[in-house]
Amino acid sequence: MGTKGKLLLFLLLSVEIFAFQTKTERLYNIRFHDMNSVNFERLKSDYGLTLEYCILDGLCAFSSLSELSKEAQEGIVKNEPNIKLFRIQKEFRMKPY
Amino acid sequence: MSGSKVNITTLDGAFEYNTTTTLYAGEQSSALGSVKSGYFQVVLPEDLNNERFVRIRISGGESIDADLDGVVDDAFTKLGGTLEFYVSVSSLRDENVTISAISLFANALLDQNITEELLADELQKSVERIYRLPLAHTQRSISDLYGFIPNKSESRVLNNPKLLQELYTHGFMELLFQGGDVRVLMSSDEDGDGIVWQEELLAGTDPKRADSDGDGLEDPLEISSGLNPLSSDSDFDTLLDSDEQYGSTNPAKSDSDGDYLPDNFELMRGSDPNNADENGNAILDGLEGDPLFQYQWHLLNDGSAGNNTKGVENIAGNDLGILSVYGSVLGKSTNYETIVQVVDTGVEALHEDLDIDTFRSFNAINKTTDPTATEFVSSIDKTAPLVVGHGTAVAGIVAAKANNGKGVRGVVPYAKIAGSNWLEEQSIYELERLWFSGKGANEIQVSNNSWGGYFINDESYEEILALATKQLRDGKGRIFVFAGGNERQDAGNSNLSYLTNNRFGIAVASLNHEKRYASYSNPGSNILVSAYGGEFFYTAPTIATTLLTGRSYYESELGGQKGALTVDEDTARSYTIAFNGTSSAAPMVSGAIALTLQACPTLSYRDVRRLVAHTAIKVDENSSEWIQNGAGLWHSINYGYGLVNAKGMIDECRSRYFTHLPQELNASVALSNINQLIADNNTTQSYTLNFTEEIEIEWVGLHVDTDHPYCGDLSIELISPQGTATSIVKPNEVRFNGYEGGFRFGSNAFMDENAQGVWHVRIRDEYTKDSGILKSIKLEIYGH
Repeated sequence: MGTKGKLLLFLLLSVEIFAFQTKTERLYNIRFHDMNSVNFERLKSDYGLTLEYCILDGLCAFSSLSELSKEAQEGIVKNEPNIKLFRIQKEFRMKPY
Repeated sequence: MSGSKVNITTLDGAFEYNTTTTLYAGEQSSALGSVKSGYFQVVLPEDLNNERFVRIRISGGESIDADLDGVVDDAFTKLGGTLEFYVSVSSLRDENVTISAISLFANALLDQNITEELLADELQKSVERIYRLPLAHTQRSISDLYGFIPNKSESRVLNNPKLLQELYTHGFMELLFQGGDVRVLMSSDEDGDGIVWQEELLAGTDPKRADSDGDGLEDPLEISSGLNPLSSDSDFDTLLDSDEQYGSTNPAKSDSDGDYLPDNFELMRGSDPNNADENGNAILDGLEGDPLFQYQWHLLNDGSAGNNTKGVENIAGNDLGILSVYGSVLGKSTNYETIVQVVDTGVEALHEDLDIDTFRSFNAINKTTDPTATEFVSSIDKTAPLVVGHGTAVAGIVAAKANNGKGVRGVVPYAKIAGSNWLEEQSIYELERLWFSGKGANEIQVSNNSWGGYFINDESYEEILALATKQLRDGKGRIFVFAGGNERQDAGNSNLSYLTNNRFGIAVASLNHEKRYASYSNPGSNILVSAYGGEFFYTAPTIATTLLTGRSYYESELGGQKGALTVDEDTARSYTIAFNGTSSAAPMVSGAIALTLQACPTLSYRDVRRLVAHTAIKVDENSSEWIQNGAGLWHSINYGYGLVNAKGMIDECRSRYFTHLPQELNASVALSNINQLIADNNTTQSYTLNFTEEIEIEWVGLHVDTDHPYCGDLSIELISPQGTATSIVKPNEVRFNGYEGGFRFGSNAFMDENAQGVWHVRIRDEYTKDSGILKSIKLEIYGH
């Protein structure tokens, strides 16, 4: 059994990216609203995101996602309406029960 | 209706008052007296005009009115004849129920142009109705339809619409329309096996073949020998009846010597299936070889001292009742291999008491097939073994090896574990690989997931589950089992997580040694079943299982601190007797399901969910939170349908009357644009949704879209058309606008109910200060 649940400040796991990233946060997920309009080459050249593979509908894995800089994230939020970035905070990671 | 007279009288002395009553159609008689069973005779007059059938109804006082109404609701017969029938209240209800009175009334139906086709159609409707009614309710209807009074086992034959249809189609059952009378004709002994048609029907045998199952043993011999004439392997041990009949083992017992090892298993490993104690040490062969088995009260509880510092004793009998299936299934046979996935913090690949499937295991950190945990191994925290070793402990509960002279044993002790340390990595991509697209995914029968979070509304998880339950196991779907969560003391609710409240998985609550919900175990309308997780080692018995090799400790070695604990027999410090949580309960359910799938490999994930619900054992019966739904099943937000019951599931799925669920149906209804303030003063607001589809429910989803800055203030209740009320969510610690955009809750409380009718949703803001708006509600129902 994992550590007993503490009084938590809850946050949606699936939220639009915040303007900053703390040490306890990391990106874990990218989702495209429309897969047909994705330009993977531009994602690689502009943000350094290298596509690994896509699963489900519009959910894709990028090898360099966890290293994405704060500036690059802000750029995606500002310039790429087709992309939804998910982040996860350490305290909201899945925990063993 | 006209004023037709119908005479009703009793035929035996079961009534206190031997009464003859004359009724007019539509009129209800006065109470005939206190009775639990009795024969009735209804004499129908011939001189009625424009009416050819009379429908007899029985009621038995307010408390059972609805049930009995269903029994002979369609007991119709042609006017001018005599209808005799038998009513056994005790067979319809719990025998302890006292029926104060039973009464009869009759309705005359309007004349119809009766044709043979219409009667055939009527039969089909009746068959369908019989099928839909709970077993005990079918006996009377069958009697009226077929002209004899079946006992319980006979009813089960007739309760198989597929069989009835087949017999009707092939001419073994004929509807004779003769002078307005309806008769079911049965042919004689066509196959010459000495069993006439009616007996063949009752036995379920083929009236055209003397050896129905083609196993070389004719039906009469099989029946007289206690074998199943419809199966060439009556005892399900994969050995043919004829081979066993003329060989050394017992064709009617899968475990001929009763040592908890199936015959086929003994032959496979080279032991004697007719010797229960081969080494003569007075211990049955199947129960020896695991030194710490004595601490596994969840497997066999004789009431000896519990595993805890306070010396709280166990309660004899409070176990999984799992031993009774080991004489039949253990997780492995000559042609079957059980593989259970454990997605967790990692599973120690080289643990002496685990059989790891390295081909199907996956390390999410280093991308190898070694599922051993990596991230926490260097921890100096002596309590860490229960964290880093969490997955190893879970795996041991599922499938620690039995009879090997080491440690403990799992619920399905000859299964392989496909382990992973995904909790160290947690990307949705690697989870997709584990749950769906990874190596050998199709062969993994069950996935155990003893992890989660307080509030999860990421739909990605169930998108993967949808694929895995649709495609894996050759389309039957992998079975996904989830821990229901340990946040009860923080007002947690399993229904706040899309991981546990979806229609694909099975959410598990935890029981302590008293068979009551553990202090930490989350409630939830989505909970399907319970198993043992114990309390805490320093208060009450906990669970014995495997732990990281060499990493377990005595309590004294921890300076009295609470932590991983073991016992003298664990010389290698590779086990613990202090594991607990819904993490412990879930793998017990996974193991029970894995055993069931070995017995019945064709079960789909939906079949399994229903089997789990139908067979679970009600616990803590005095709890006020149990509700009996409209289909007669008991559900509790604390326990689901009760304690998991492997034997019940296996018996049920092996029954020749078991039928797989038909194609899935679903529909939804919504109230959009409500945009109504939710009163911030503990006032209940009620909303209704009219669900028009006739669906037998398997799962209900309730989408609630609110704009409320502290949605945890809200209490939501859902009431079905049949009056079943379940708490969808109670006030909790979700301190933000969490339901905005629509949060989908789930419920398993309505299993088997007919969804058609008016549903009620009740919402209440139980706390002042924060207030919000209800924007919309949507009800979605899946079933068949």
